Amino acid sequence: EFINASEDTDGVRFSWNVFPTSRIEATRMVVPVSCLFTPLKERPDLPPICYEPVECQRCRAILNPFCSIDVRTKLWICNFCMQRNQFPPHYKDISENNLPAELIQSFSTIEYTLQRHATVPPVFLFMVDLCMDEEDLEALKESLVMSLSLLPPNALVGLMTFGTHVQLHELESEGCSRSYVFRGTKDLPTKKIAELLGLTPGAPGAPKQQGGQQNFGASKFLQPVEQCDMALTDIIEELQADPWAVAADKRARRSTGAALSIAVGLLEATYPNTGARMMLFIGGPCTQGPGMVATTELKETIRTHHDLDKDTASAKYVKKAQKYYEGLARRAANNGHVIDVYGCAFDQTGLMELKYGPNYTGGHVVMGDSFNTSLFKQTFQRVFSKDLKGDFNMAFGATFDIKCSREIKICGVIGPTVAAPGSKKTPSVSDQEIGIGGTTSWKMCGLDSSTTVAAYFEIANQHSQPIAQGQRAHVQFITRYQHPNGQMRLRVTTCARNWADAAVNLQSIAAGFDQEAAAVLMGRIAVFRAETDDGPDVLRWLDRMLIRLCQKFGEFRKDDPNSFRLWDNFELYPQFMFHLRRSQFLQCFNNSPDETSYYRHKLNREDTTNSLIMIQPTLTAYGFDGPPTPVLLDTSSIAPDRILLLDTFFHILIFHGETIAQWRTQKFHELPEHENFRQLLQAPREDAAEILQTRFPMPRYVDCEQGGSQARFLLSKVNPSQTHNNMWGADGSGAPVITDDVSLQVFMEHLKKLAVSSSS
Amino acid sequence: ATKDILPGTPVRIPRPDLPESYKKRNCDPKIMRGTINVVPKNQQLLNKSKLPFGLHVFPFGPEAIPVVESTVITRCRSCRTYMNPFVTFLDNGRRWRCNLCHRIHELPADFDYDPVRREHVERSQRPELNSASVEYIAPSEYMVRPPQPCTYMFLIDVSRGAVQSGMVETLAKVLLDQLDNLTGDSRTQIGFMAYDHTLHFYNLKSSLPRPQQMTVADPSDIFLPSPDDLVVNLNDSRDVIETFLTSLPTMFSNSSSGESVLGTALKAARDVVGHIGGKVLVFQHTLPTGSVGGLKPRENPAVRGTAKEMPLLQPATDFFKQFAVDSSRQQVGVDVFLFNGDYIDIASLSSVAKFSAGSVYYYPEFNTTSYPAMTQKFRKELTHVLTRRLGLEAVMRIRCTKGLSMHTFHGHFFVRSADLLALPNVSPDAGYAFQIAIDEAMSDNKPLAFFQTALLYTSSSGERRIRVHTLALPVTDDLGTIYSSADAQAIAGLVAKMAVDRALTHKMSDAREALINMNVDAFSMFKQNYISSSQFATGLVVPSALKLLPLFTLAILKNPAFRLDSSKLDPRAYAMMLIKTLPMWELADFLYPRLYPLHDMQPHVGLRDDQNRLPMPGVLQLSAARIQRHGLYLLNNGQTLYLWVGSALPAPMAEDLFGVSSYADIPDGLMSLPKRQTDLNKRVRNIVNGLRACHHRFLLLFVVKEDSKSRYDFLQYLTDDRTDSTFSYFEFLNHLHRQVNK
Ligand SMILES: [Zn+2]
Ligand SMILES: [Zn+2]
Repeated sequence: EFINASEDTDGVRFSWNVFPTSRIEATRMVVPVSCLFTPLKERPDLPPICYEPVECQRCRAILNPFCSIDVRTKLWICNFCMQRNQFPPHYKDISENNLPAELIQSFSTIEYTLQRHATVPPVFLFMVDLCMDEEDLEALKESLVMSLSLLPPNALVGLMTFGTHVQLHELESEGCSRSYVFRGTKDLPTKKIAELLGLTPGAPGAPKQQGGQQNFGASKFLQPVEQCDMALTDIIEELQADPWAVAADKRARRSTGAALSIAVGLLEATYPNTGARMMLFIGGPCTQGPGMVATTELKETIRTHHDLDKDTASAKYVKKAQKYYEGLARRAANNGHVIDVYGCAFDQTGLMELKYGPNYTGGHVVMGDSFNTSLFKQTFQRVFSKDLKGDFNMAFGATFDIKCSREIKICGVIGPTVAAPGSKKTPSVSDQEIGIGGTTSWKMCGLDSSTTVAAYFEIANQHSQPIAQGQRAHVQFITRYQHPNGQMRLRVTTCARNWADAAVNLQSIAAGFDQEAAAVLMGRIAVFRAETDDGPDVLRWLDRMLIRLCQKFGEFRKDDPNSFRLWDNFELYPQFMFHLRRSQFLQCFNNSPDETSYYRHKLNREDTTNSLIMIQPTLTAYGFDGPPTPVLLDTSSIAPDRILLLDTFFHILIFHGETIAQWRTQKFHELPEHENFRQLLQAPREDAAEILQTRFPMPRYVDCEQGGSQARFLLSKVNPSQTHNNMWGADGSGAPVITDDVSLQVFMEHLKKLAVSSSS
Repeated sequence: ATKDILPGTPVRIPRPDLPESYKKRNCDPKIMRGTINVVPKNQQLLNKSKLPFGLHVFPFGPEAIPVVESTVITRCRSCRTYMNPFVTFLDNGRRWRCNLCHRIHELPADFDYDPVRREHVERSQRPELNSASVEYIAPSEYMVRPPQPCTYMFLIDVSRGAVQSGMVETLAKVLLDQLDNLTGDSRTQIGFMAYDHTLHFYNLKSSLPRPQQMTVADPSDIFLPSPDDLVVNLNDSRDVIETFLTSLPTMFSNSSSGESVLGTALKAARDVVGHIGGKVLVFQHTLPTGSVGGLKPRENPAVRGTAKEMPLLQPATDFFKQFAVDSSRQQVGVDVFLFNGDYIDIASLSSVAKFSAGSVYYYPEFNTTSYPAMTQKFRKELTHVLTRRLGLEAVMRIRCTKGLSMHTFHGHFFVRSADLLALPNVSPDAGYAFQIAIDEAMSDNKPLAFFQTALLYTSSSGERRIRVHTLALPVTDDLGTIYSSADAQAIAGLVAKMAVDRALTHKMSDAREALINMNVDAFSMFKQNYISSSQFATGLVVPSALKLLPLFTLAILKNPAFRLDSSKLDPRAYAMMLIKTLPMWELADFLYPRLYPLHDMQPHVGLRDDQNRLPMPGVLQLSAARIQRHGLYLLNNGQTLYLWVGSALPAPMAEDLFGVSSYADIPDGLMSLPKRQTDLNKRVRNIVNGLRACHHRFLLLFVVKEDSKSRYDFLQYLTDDRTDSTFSYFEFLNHLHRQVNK
């Protein structure tokens, strides 16, 4: 319950909710002290605080309910550095009965609206690939026009299109539509872009300077949507496919790289450190210029995992392109700008190379087959969804700081973020780096209420230095961000956790283990490693960690696998690891590099619940014999008279058992006497619809039947407890799965054997 | 005082002395005109005469010439001469002898058969045997590709100055008005580019709801933003084009750019139309900037008239010449409209027109608000350029009787091979001149020599046509006949052209000396051979055919192209360009303007007769001595009209002409005449309008009062009189006399 409460109020889930007191013990617990933190967890109940937060003079931590205060002397002691701080003069009236909100226990999370900052509307730059077929382009245009009505009215909006060349469209056009055209094969430095667009003072053609505005001249390209929506609607509706002919054996010349460079440069020159979103819509890979992913020759296929492993000719553009997009992503991130990628095509669009943009800046990645699908259309609408208060569920340009007690150091974070530019190594920075480390301050350019980062800590306290009884471990998250309404806000979450000496009180530490959070946290590390290292190593590392955890928190007799039993709170963890190992995050089989990048991107930013669904999909059974029940993700759950609802986060699949499928084909549900069958068919559909309506991005929806070709989605996810290797086994129930994967049972037996082995 | 040597009527053009039947069919001197109306038998004889020998040609000017409808084009198989009125038929008309190379050929079997009408044609009826000027409709073997459509690419300077002057707005309005009249047919194509420090392309695809402006901002790296639709079919895209032209005047109203990257724009324009060919029209207000074809101010009053001026009259960069030469290969011609009041470097910019056979138009101090007359001039001239006949992808070749050859060519073209001129666009306004050498003596038994100009072009309606002009001249071995056959005006025209070349390759003083020496040498030779010492006279003795030559020569020396004092670079370069390109009939007036007295006109003068002819007053010599204080005079140099109002103009004339009570009330700086129903007013306006109708360039009218500050604008044309630095006509004759007698 504590875990749930902590997640609800603070958006925090620690792997361990009781911290071991020493470095050595912490290491032995295998799973690091770490947490998943959702900085903008939706909190409609937070009171509006319209004053500046009070900061510790020494460590700049923010006054919080865990500080000790002296109302008489008007002093407060920082719970991170123990500095005594004077309350500011306007706190002179505080007393035990008259405390400011930030000192009230229930406000461990609190949000300040910073008055001193001017409100700035966010900037949206649409970047439209014109090398797509007419149907897709028309659908996309429709979505874009529709989105104009969804944007905040004061938001600045602009349009760039690209194909063979890159066009930046002017919004103030009478008579003619106007655009600047850039060569699609050229990477231009920001200074040059600004100069060419007349955005630098003194440049020929630049309007005469009025005041000292930084972005003067930019209003040609970026204007409040309420002002330019008519003009922009016209321009979007007039867009035509790239006019350059494409031979039948060629790919279109698509200048995604140059376009992105110009977009990054434009925003860098005009709106640095202001919330801005580059929304990139692509229907294929970049085929020329910087960031090129594939050639225009169709016979030269786009790189696959096989090409990457074997370093074939198709893979030769990867490194250069990745370096290029990473550079752009870093610049965008440093400017506080977001890069979204909406890639809709049957073939790959180069997401593996482009991913740095969304991954570094907190942008969205949406992958679909076509822009003319509800998957894209619905998902795109959801980008502009609003919360209960009617605010857009998006925030911009956040910096995210972690403060922690002296006994704790910060190894790093894993999430859609980069180290804040210019951040320095503080005493809280651990030498042991996990994820993005070396700092206590990160930048998250785009985030919403579900964006979740994983933070990893090191217990720095030496065994020889006992921690005083009653002292607690504190971690404070400070998130400063641009609210979609333009306000600057600062949200502070302060967590306190108890210490326990593992040598004497391992049980209490174990009781604080959050195996779900731990699985996700370990999953993020695994994916982070997989992105940089080789796959097999990651699997071996996961196995090693799992065995060590089992040894630490299992009861067994040496060399007797049958005696093995895990402690409470740990029993689901091996199963999570089993599914993680065979998930699309770590297994590339049957996936393209783009898909792998996409899946990993999502795992990198979702909260614990969603991440867990991704790791171990949920399976719900619907039958005549009772209400829907969650069932094991196992072949044994497949039955002829059952309907199964599989949720893998990315896919929603309704699987009709053989008998049900036959009845459905015979349209029994249309007969009045089979009302209950109709209801049975309807139930999973309604549940699926609910998920489809809320999830971002909208999952692919599959309706299939046992034996049908689409059923492979389910079969690839379930535990192969029955395969062709053992289908003649004793059991006889369930449906066999044709796979060479080991089943969970085999996995567990193997794990037990290794865990109890005296040699390991 | 010298007596009037001008006849009072326009100078008579001497004709070659030929048998009557030949005379009748010989080429109109307006089209082909020799400097001497004979061909000296050999080069020695020509050299001895000291006269320049050449032809003025105006090949595309005349509109109505007979068309040969037969599909068979009969030509000499050895020298490729076209059938002409001067060939001889042999063997009862079955064979013919080429009049240029004298070879004999069989006539084609169907020579006397008209395949269109399917009937026998009398040979005497055939146009090519009756008229020295005919036009053939060429069959497909005269085409290397299907005839190109008329294609116009407008390059518009939209820098701050261009926009503020009203140039862009006026241009847009004229284009909008003339879209229906644009020379061409249903295939006509049109495109636009605008440029300041960047380049603006326009996609005018017919399916677009409105034009798309695409700016390529980096002039150092220009590319075409769209593969098609930067030049479009006029009919198909009419709506989009109209939208574009309607918005053009305001599109750049906020322009603050002082730059104008013409060179870059030209290159891009050729990328757009190069595969079709066509006409590029440049509207330039600001001195071009940029790394390609960028120009710098070169005006330097200190070097005017000195040897140091010469390089400033040459192009500052090779770019424009090279561009034009390359364009010529792609059948792209460039017309240039220049607007600046300050220096715009005509010397450099005209070379883009020069080598691509284009035209140059110049509007100094253009401003729609402050100078409406100049705006009118631009409107009229642009309209003319857009609606005049247009020959595309043309080549011109001159053939002549064996032994003669052309060696120096004057005009706007690119010499593709020894006798072949490339004219991507041929203009009906353009004149050319050729100098002739006599490489081999003319054969004794051939009393006539011939010149044939063949202009192969694509008409605006997509026909491939060949325009052929043939001129016959008698051959002579007598020096006296040479002198008596000389055409002083044509000689003046040719030596003026030669002097331009000399001024640009040597020194201005060399050019001036050469002009004078030509007179001295010719008259010395004449004197030596034809004046016996007993006849020794006190004055200069000249052949009567050349008696006007000193008068014209002196005027040339005082023309802005050659005069020593106070000519700025641009007017000088412009005058030089005009001298090189005007057809002879216009050049004559440019070199020695016509001065008409208007205050004592004969009753019929200035009123259209029943044949719609307009009798003109007699002309006066250009001397203040001919100007009376109570008089009214009109001076026409083919470019500008000056109406001189004497300070003693009788009040009734002031009333009749200007509607004011006296001379004093005539406003200064008037540039038009009020429309009044008085006899004088009507006649003067008739004359002004009549003169305007003759010229393809719009004649600005300046009303100059005798006591106004602008009187020198008029007085500079009185070239018979002494100026500070140059002879009067009398002094010049004396000078020549002294030189001849040395
Ligand atoms: Zn502190
Ligand atoms: Zn011949």
